[in-house]
Parts: sequence; structure tokens; C-alpha cells
Amino acid sequence: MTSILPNTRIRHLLYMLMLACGVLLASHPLWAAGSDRFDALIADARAAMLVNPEETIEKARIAQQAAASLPGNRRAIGIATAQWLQGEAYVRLDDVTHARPLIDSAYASATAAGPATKLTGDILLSRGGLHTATAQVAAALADYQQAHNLFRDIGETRSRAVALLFIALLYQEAGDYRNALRYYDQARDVYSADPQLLLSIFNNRGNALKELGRFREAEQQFREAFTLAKTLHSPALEARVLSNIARSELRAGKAEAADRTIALGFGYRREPEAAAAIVQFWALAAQSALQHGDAQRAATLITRAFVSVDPAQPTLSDREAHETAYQAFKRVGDEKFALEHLEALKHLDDQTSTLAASTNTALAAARFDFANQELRIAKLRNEELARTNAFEHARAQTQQLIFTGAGIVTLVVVALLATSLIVIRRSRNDVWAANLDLAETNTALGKALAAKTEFLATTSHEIRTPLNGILGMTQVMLADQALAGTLRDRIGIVHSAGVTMRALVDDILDVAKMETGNLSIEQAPFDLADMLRDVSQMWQEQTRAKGLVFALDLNESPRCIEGDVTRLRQIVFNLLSNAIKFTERGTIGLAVTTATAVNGERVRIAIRDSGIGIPADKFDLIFESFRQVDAGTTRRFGGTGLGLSICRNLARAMGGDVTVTSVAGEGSTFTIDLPLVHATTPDTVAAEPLTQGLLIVDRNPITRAMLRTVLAPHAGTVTFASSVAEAVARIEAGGVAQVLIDDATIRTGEDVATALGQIADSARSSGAGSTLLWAVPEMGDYSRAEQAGIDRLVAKPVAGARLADVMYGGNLRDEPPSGLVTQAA
Amino acid sequence: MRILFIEDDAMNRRVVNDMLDVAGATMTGAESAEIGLELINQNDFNIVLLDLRMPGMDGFTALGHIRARGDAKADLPVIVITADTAIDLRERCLAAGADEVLFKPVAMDSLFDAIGRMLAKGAGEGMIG
Repeated sequence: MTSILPNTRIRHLLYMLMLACGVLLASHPLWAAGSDRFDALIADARAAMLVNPEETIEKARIAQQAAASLPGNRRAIGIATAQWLQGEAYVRLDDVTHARPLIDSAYASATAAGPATKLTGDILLSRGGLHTATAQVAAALADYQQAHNLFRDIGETRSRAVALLFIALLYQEAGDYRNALRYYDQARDVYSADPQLLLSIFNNRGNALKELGRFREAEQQFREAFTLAKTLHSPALEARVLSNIARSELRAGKAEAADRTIALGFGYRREPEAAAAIVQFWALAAQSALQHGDAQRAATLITRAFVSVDPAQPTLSDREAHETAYQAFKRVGDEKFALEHLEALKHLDDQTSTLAASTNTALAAARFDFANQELRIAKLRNEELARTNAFEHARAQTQQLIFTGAGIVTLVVVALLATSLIVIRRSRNDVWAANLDLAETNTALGKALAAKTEFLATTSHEIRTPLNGILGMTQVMLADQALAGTLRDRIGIVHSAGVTMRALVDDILDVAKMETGNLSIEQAPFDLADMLRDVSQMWQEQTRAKGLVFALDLNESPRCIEGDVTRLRQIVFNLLSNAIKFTERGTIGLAVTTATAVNGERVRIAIRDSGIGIPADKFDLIFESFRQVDAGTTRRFGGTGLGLSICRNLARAMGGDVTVTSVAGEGSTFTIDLPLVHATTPDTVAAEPLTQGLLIVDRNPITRAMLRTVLAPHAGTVTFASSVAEAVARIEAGGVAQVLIDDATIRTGEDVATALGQIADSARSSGAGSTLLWAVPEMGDYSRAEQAGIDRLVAKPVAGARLADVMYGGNLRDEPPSGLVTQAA
Repeated sequence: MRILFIEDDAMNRRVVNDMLDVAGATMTGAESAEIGLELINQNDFNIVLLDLRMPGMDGFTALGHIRARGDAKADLPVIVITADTAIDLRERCLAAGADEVLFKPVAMDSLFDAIGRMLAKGAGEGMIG
């Protein structure tokens, strides 16, 4: 019946914004008003915005040309103004492609032309609108916040309120009504002298309260809005507010009141501007009819509503209209139409939930980013205050000194006394005030930090759960031997992606821990050279695949040092990963040196590459959380920009640092500098005499773990094999002193006797003993095992301790026990 | 090998179930701590896997109930599986009586390893086979 408008919810939001914006434009003060041709053109263009944006574009374009002949710096501002108007008009026409360059250009010109002005703020608001239209909620929020701060700083309270209103609308659209209400209240507190703005605030507060089910309060707000609409003599606004009132009454179940309001609403049908609202009244009347139980009438009314929809005008509350239509047609028995509207509903709901979900995440992210910025500003302010504090304190002390030390002429002394006292008191007051400020900033800092950490922890926790599903199942699938080629590859890709995600989540968590000082660093001896070799090994294949050369220089490396091997490995791994990522050709080098510096003996691990390099002015930037050299890098190379921040924080936590030197275009060298603490050479992992090695032939991972736990203390090294062939190969490779065979693994292959024979022969010729773990079976197998030449037979189930005893305690054979618990597996 | 997994999320139960399938172990799932404790009453399990965050009775409380039993089942090996990453969570779990703590996303090998170890040590008489 009706075409579903794309991005209906966004258009809905935009429509609301436009209304508020109309408010914005209506009283934008013209600067340096005069009878200039330019000013007249701008005024014309502006006037056309609400009714005919195309006309605005035309007029503003002409104005832009006129601006070229303006004197001095008025020129830049003039052009910026004209471009901004065009951009805003395109946004209203939903033409993002044309809007974007104009707004960007306007912003650039405005900011270049001098200190922040109202124009800059207005452009930011338009840019926010642009981002909203393209569903980039986080960017929209950032723009609004920036605009808000700008207006606050230059004292434009009205515009500040408008910015707050826009932010509130974003939250409302995301379904976060409580926050939306908060911002509406703030907007009203900031500026309540403009009836149009106030109307918008009341109207939207009403909507938010309605969604929260607080119908009585909602109606109150709407009635205030209605009163204001009347004082503004705007039938369009009156009708809109009435429709909101009716909607709220219907939701609250006040059928008669709603009917009266709807009747009032229809009274506006002669007003051309109220056309959009009239459509709503048809839909509301239909809803009311449904509530009265008259489905037929409802169907008729709702048909009327949809028929009169102007596709070019985004309608409000499409959802409720479709819901009403679905119910009506269903009850009337008109399946076809009912289904159409049900599908429309689902489509809308899908859009809303995605928008809400992404909006919520985006808002959360934006809030976090905002807090991050605030944190930094607060930190700087903190330092500033601390310095001022110290200065004031010193000054007060000096005054006191003069006071106590002086005293030649009484009059002079008295005079000095008097002035000193006044100055001291003033200083003390200043210090006291500064201290209060400091305390406040500290609290704010603390809160922002806590919010940020909570956000980080919550996010990473939330992501782990679905990751469990992804990685869990890919592991299960990959463990299936029957999984064929292409399918296995594909699942392998999903698995790798999951692993990467987990690494990311762990990184985020690390950042959270670091920023709240919850990082723990171990101190234990380890072999540095070994560790570095290991880590390099992990990247060898990739380096080779990229055609790069890897140069490892461990000649000067100390062997055993004290430190946190896991964390250090993490840093080296990260730096190597970056080195390879950002290098297309040439060499990757890892070298270790030692040196004696002012802070003691140091060990330095340098990782150099011949990659794209880093410009000198970004040396510090790249170590900040979530930063890369520039957005272009992120797009080319991917990554979150967390790695270096974590590396530096870890290194600093260990008493060292990570620094970089680089020449853009030629390569970089990252150096990890750490305190060098020699450790007593640990007993090298007891290279047990190889004759003690135990080979376990068992495919089941759980029993493998059990057997290893039980037997490893007795055997030296424990290795595993999953088949006869593998077992034989391992025995022949040498170093096996004992072989333990689980019969379940043997049974699934060929003839048991042959299998056992092969292993037994192989074991005997290598001088290894063999033991068979077998389920209480028919006697036949038992003797065949003996014939095959197995040294020991142990019947399952057996207590772990007993098995260890049998194998390593000198017993030669265990009799098949009787009547024990049946197999569990 | 009879394994009980107390976890309210059906997806997580399914994941662990399929993992244990790979190792030939059977898993019984309990969607709440209350149901889990009742199952322990009525059956003999070798090992219990336990989630911490559940509506109703949470993991810690359930663990307390198990350890407070007056019979041999009080010593059932319990492995906590959680997505929580609080700093001292591991210590708290172990102090509350858990034998091992695994973090989601769970690596299959870690799960098998932990189960194998627990079973082998079980009451000093871990039965193999």
C-alpha cells in the first residue's frame, strides 16, 4: 500500500531536528547588519530554508559569489556563511553528497578566519545533522558536544541550549529516554526565553515521558507546548502537539479524551501547513476505533491515512500506524493487507533495533571518548591548579615574612601590616578556592576514570561471551578429522578471525587495567635469548612470505635475567607484528645490547624495520591509546592502535620504556629499554636422561591429560601418539623408555594383535618397556597381548596411583580385577 | 566420565557439550544452580563445571552449597568457567573452593587438560578408564 521510506527512523529524527533548527535559524543574529547586497542575499536565502530549501541553495550560491567582493576578513566569513547555508539546505533535502563538501569547506573557512564564533558553532550543528542523516551517531554526538562547548565559551546561551536539545534528540532516538530527559532539562536550564525553543523542549520531553509510560507528566508537557504554539500563532505546530497529546491519551487508555482531542485535531484540516499532522489524526482515529472494538471503521480510517501520505514528507510514528493497520485488517479478515503491514512493522523494528543497538554502542563509545578528552583536559587543569596553588602558597608565606621582619617606623609598620593582612587574606581565599576547584576536578577525574574503566571492562566482558560460542564451535569443528578441504579452510578462517578478536579484547582489558593501576608485574628468572628466539620463530613464516629478511642478533644478549617473561614477550611480539605489518620490502632486525646508564645497568632490545616510517611530530602520538599515525594508516593497515600504548605502559611498569626513532619513508627502530637484573642461572629444565621418556599412545584428550598428570612426576618427558604408525615412528626416533598403550586407540585400527605386535617389537628393539591398558575384555585378547610381547597388562579402570606404581614401582603384571566400576567414558 | 555443567546460557552449554563430545565424554546440563544442585543429589558425577553469573542463585553460592555437603560429593572437583575478568577473580574462586578456573572464550585443549588433571587427582584415587 505504502512504500516504506528508507531510513525512516533517521528521517523522523531529522524532521524533528528541522523543527528545532527552524527555531535556530529564525533568530540567528545577522552580523554587521547593513544594506549590503550580500547581507540581503543571505537574509533571503535564510528565509527560504524552512519552506523551499532549493531556493535557499540558489540564493546562497549567488550570495557566495557576492561575498568574493567583500573586503578583508569579511570575505572568508561571508563565503563560509553562504556555504554553510547551502550545506544545511542540502541536508534538509537529504542530499548528503552535496551537503558534505560544502559543510566541510564552510567549517575550514570559518575556523581559519579567526577565533571561534557563533558561525563556527552553527556549522558544527549542521555537520552534526549531516552525520545523523548518515547514521554516524558517534560523529554527530561529537559535533554537538563541540558546538555546545564552543557556544558555552563564547557566551551564546541560546545556541548552547539548542546544542543540548540536539544531543537529547540523539539519545531519544537511541531509546535512552532517561538521558534524553536529562539533556532536555539542561537545555531548559540554560535558556528558557525563546518560545519556539521551549516548545520543542516541551514537545520532545513529552514524547520521552510517554515512552517511559509516564503519561500524566507527558500530557502536562504537551499542554505546555500547545499553549506556546498558540502564542506563536502556528497552526502547524498546534496540530502536531495535539497529535502527540492524542497519542499519549490513547496509550494511557483514555479513549474519550483521545477522541475529543482527535476531533479538535481535525479542526485544523483547512490549514495547508498542518497537512502532515492531519494524516496522523486519521491514523489516531483508526487506533481509537480499534480500541472501541470497531475494526471495520478502523480499517477504513487507516486506509485513508495511508492514502493521504505524501511520500516526499517523512511521516511521524510510522510504526504505530502500521501496527494499527495490521490489527484492523487482521480483525476484519483482510489477510493480504494485514500481512503487508506486518512486514512493514518488522522492517521498521529491524531498522530500529539496529539503529538503537548501533546508536547505543556508538553513544557509549562517544561518551567514553568524550570522557577521555575531558580526562585529559582535567589532568591539564589539575596541573595548572597545582602550580597556581604552590605559587599562592609561596606568596602568602613571603607576605608573612615581610610582616614579621619589618618594623622601623610604626606608621610604616602599621601600613605594611594593614596591606599585608588584606593581601594574605585574599591569597588565602584564592588558595582556598583553588583547593576547592582542585578537589572538584579530582572528583570529576575519578568519576570519568571509573566510568571509562567500567565501560572497557563491560565491553570486553560482553564480547567474550559470544566469542566463546564462535571459538568453541570452530575448535569443535576443526577437531573433526572427517572435515574436508574447503570447508576446513573456511572454518579455519572463522577461527583465526575469532582468535584475532580475542586478542583485541584482551588488549582492551589490558588498557583498562593499566589506566586504573591494576597491572601486576612478575619478577622471576628466565632465559632472555630463548624467549626472543621463540618469539622470532613465530613471525619467521610471515616474514618470509612477505619476502622480507629477518636478522636476529643475540650475540650480546644476557642469558638469564629477572623479569616478567610473559609481559616482555607480549611487547616484543607486538613490536615485531607492527614492524612486519608496516614494511613492504627490506629487513626486519631484532638486536639486543646492554649498557650502563645513569639509572643503572640496562638491557635494550631494538626492533628495526625498513618500512613506511613515522614523521617526527608523531613520535609521542602513536603511543597514545587508540591512536595511529593518521586515519589513512588505519584504513590501509588495520588495527586498533592499542598495541603501542600497551607496550609502553608495560615497559614503564617494569621500570623501563619503549621509544622510537624513525625517518619517514625509510624505516623505524623501536627500542625497549629495561633494567638489567642478572639472575642466578636456573637449573636448566632438567634434561632428564632421555632414557626416561614416556610415550603414551592415546587419542582421547581427556585421558591423555589424566595419564600425564599421574605419570609425569615419574617419567621425565611425556609425549603422545594417536596411532600405531605414529607410535612406531616416535619410538624409532629415540628417547623413549616406556610406552603406554590405551587399547581404545588400538582397537579402532587394524587387527589388534598385529598392532600390538608392531609396537611391542619396536619398543623391544629400542630397549623400551611397554604397558597395555585394556578394558576388561574377553580372555582371548588377553593372551594375544601376551603373545604379542607386551611387557605389562593393566586392566581398566585403574586408580591413577596404582598405574604409576605398576609402571614405575617394579611390578611386572597386574591381574585383571573383577567387579570394579564399569568404564566411565 | 559424567560431567555436570551448571550454566544458564543455552549457547554456552551447547558449546561445552560439543567439545566434550569430541573427547567422548557425556555432559549433563543444568540451566540453574538450583537444578544443578538437585542433579548432584540424584546422580553421581565425576566433575562439575560451573558458571558464575546466573539469575537466581549464583555460582559462588552454589559452590558453597556443594562444599558444605556432609558426604563424599562435597569433594567433587569443580572447574569454574567464566567470562569475568576481574583482577582477583581467580583467587576468589579458588578461595571459595573451586579447583580450577577457566576463562571464556574457553580453549578446548585447556578444558580437556583441566578436566583430565582434576579427574586424575580426584580424591587421590582418580580412576583412569
